[in-house]
Amino acid sequence: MLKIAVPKGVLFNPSIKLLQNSGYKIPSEFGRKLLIEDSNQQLSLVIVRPFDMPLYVEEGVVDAAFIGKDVIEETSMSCFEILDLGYGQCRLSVAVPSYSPYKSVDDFHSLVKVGSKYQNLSKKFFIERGIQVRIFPLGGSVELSPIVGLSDAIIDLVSTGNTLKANNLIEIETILHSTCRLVVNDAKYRLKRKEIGEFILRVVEVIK
Amino acid sequence: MDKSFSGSVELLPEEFLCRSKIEDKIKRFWKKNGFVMIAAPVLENWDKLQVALDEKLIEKTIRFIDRFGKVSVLSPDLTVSIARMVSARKKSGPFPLKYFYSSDVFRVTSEHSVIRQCGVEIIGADKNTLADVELAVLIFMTLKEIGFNEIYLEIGNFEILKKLLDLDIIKHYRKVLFDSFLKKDWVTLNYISNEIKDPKISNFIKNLPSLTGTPDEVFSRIELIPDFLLPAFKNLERISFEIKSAGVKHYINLSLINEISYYTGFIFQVFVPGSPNSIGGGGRYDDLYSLFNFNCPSSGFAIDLDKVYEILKTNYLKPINVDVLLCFNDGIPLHWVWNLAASYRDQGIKVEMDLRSRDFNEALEFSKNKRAKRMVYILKLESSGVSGWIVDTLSGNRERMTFC
Repeated sequence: MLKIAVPKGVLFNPSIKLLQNSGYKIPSEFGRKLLIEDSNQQLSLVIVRPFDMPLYVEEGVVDAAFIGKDVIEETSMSCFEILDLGYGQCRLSVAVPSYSPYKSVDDFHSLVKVGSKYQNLSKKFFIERGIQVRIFPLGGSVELSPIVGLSDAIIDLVSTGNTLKANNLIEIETILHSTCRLVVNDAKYRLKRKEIGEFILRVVEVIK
Repeated sequence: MDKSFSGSVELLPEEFLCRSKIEDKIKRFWKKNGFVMIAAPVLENWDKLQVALDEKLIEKTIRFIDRFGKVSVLSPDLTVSIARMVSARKKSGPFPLKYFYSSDVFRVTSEHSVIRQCGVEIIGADKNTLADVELAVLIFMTLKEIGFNEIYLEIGNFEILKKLLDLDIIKHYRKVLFDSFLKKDWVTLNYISNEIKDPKISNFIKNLPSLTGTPDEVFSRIELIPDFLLPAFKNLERISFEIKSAGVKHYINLSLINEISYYTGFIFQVFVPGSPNSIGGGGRYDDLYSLFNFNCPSSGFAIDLDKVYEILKTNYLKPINVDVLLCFNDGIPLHWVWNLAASYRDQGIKVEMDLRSRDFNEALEFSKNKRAKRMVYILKLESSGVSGWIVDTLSGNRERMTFC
């Protein structure tokens, strides 16, 4: 039986739907269960927070996972990135308050203060641009940080842009485009090659 | 509170004994295969070593300045240290040299920074496939020898990717392609393949992730291989044939790559159940020695002993016990105790002397805790020697004895 990690949040429903469309008998209602098996006992699903997924995959606790490209890049996780599943489209962007004097990243000078959940990507982005930066690691409500004066800018995921608009923030640069990916653990890709190969084929049939 | 410093693996006596048993078994096996042990230098002069270290490895090194102001480095890669050593001292051969080592290497990682490695080096064999075959077979057999039943040996030829990346039509994508191979990012690879104009090359890149599997599955798809890559492909096929002839089951992966940059051709990795990633691997690095001004083909592999230990420890972990625990009352002249211990040891019996004052019952309890098979408790000095009890700690049976 393959063990697959599915992320909580926006990628959860489309991932479950993809599995159901791939022929796996996954129930539609789970309640608060975090471990689910399909009724044919081909798959065991583990429901995990997105930023915990790399650990589960790299340690081989699960064989494969559905995971956002943003998390893959932020954590530099080591795995096989097999398929772009197409859903969960969003972008990691730099945003500032609409009244900010900064209209583009090139306008930043001296030490920029940035609030973000994506500390590594944020740091890398500013270092590559030669801009000194101080990253404030935030767990949530990132949009709040420039409004209350904690930071000059934020780096966060944007899908429709409604949350930014509602908080009077504007995007000034996109760092990364992200969609949901199918990833497979390094060793399991080899040791369970037949089962994983069949699983990939079933998923490909649905997304192509 | 976290009581352990994660810089190195800590091993208590039972654990150390367990890892040593595995290590000894590996060493014995390699000796049987004609390899001789080498003491690889752990502390190196930075100036001398850095010429052969790539950027990624340099980032992970542990360096410090000694009191003379010179930079020293704890060896992050014994293959490089041995290359430096052989280039300086063993240029005259006789070749090929077949060495093995078992030592610590030092790399700053998110886990342990001291990694126990066992590895072999074949230095100065001809640039034919024989050394490659021997290495692949040897790593497989070594893992079997220490108790692994299911071993996934994967082989590839790094020359295929190198030649592909050297193409002029690839030059705009070189870095991103290389990173995609390194990160096993088939999604980006697929995007890039769509942008490459040459249909044969584009199709080859698109299909590379699927060029993995059994030798039959991969070598039957020769129509996908561009002409300029055929010699490297055929070379891999020859090696695979020889490995198969040695009775070793293996798999092919044409996009296999190692993050250490000195590999030039044949490469391989091994996977076993219980480890989420590779536990060992190696290959050919024909250009490495020339960085130390010595043109000499070479190849080798290393096994991560700590990873192996983690998987196999349940098979090897045994309590340490002594045959006899020697306890004695206060007032017994020490030379009697020494002599008695020596006479046991002369008979090949493992003896430990208790260094605390205990009465008989306390000593018996201590012997049981120490898993001693027998306890000798010396009670008093007699005219003819010393007297006491010999106790079987398991049954509790005791016998009065006089030791002369």
